[in-house]
Amino acid sequence: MIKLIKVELFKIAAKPRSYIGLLAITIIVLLIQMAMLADGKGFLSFIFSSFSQSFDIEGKILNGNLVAFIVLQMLVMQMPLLIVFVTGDIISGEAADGTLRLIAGRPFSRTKIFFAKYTASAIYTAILTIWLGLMALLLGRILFGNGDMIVLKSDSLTVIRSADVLWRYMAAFGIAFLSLLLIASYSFCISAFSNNSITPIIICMGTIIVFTIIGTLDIPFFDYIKPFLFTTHMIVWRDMFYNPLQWTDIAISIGIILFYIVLFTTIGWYHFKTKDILI
Amino acid sequence: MNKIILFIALFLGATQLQAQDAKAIIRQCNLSYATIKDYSCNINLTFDIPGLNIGTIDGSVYFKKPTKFRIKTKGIAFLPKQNPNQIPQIMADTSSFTPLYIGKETIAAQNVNVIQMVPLKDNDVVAARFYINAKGQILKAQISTKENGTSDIINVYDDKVSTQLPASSVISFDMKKFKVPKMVAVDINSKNTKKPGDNNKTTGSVTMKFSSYKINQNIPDIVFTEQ
Repeated sequence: MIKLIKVELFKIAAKPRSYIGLLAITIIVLLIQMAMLADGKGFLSFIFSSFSQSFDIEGKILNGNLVAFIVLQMLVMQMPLLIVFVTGDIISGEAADGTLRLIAGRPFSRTKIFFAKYTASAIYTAILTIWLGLMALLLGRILFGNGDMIVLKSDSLTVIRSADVLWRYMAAFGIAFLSLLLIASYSFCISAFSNNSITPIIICMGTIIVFTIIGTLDIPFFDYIKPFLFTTHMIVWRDMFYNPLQWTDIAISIGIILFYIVLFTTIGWYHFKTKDILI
Repeated sequence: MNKIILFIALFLGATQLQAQDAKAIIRQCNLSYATIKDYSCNINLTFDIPGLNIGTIDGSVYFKKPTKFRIKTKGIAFLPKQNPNQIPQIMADTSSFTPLYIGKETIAAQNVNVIQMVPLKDNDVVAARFYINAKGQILKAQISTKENGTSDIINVYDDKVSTQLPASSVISFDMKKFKVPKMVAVDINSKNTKKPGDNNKTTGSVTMKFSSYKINQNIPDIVFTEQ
């Protein structure tokens, strides 16, 4: 199994598209950090303009923790796209190239092949998440320093003391990894059904865009649907930065994310076992 | 006719006496503050501000006459534009305000004289009312400004901390609703976590607890400007 996983990881590493995610994260994060270095104070004075009429703000607002949070907020929509570029192609790409038939002809069960590919996808997702964490938080702290963190919501602000920030980020990145693994599982599942690599990417992104639009619209009818959409729970990493922590809500969202991961993986695996690979 | 003249004379006399009373009370307070050229102390801040979730924080307060005032904290703090130091500044500014005796009231089981400070010329402070006890301590102040609306300051004194300066102050103030641009907050897919009525509150308060006053220590000016 480990040998199979290594082979799959090698295949991912050999494809140029696998580096698009890393490159995109690097460019986006550096762009935001450079912009914040150049004019972060002006940007913050714009954000806090309604507060500064009533208050004088004491302390260092512009720090690595805030910049990392802004970076993560900005990448909410982009990260799934960067994941599905690779995970949506893992089975369907090989089906299109005809190499799936070759692999299936070797003395490995289809279950082993499926889970080796899935594990490689999960490792790729973890690498992207860790890279995002290193770029956003570590580089952010190097450039802007540490300090109390201001968490921005459209109608409120939460201030988290610096000693309380790091463990929240670690937990948030852990939850973000699960959220991205859900996207990987979804695209992987569709990839098992498809014989070309474009279809899973389009279906995945289409689903995320539609669900996000539904999640954004404040129409009462959608309130019944929203709890069932996985995109509603994918942003639960942000809840790690609210006070007090709503552990029950966080646990429910993580539970739903895990449920969808298992559901999509099981559907994909079941179909892959019986998939006609001669087409 | 004689009765009317007598009434007017008595009324004017009483008004004059009250004005003198008000001036005497303010003079007593000013004398008490006159001995303080500067001070520093520790502060603990607790916030109750709609739309702002922030824990308590410790810091230091620095004051130097006539108007230098700064609160330095060990992290981020949202400090109201109003501060307890406005009170002695208004009282000492006899060219801009004249005191008017309003009456007596009871605050925190203490009899207080209520003095209204009336601006004599165009001023950001449009009205100020002080509730002063027999020791010359200001237990309560209401200050209305053009810029920042009305604020209430409630002081509690503790002789163990200081006889002239408050051991704690609660500042309540008007504030505008807080909004972050949605594009910046990126509140997409967000679950509704608003508490009912939370967003309609337009008054906030900050509780300041002071300790370890150090008076007349010659605080350098750089304390008020350094980042």
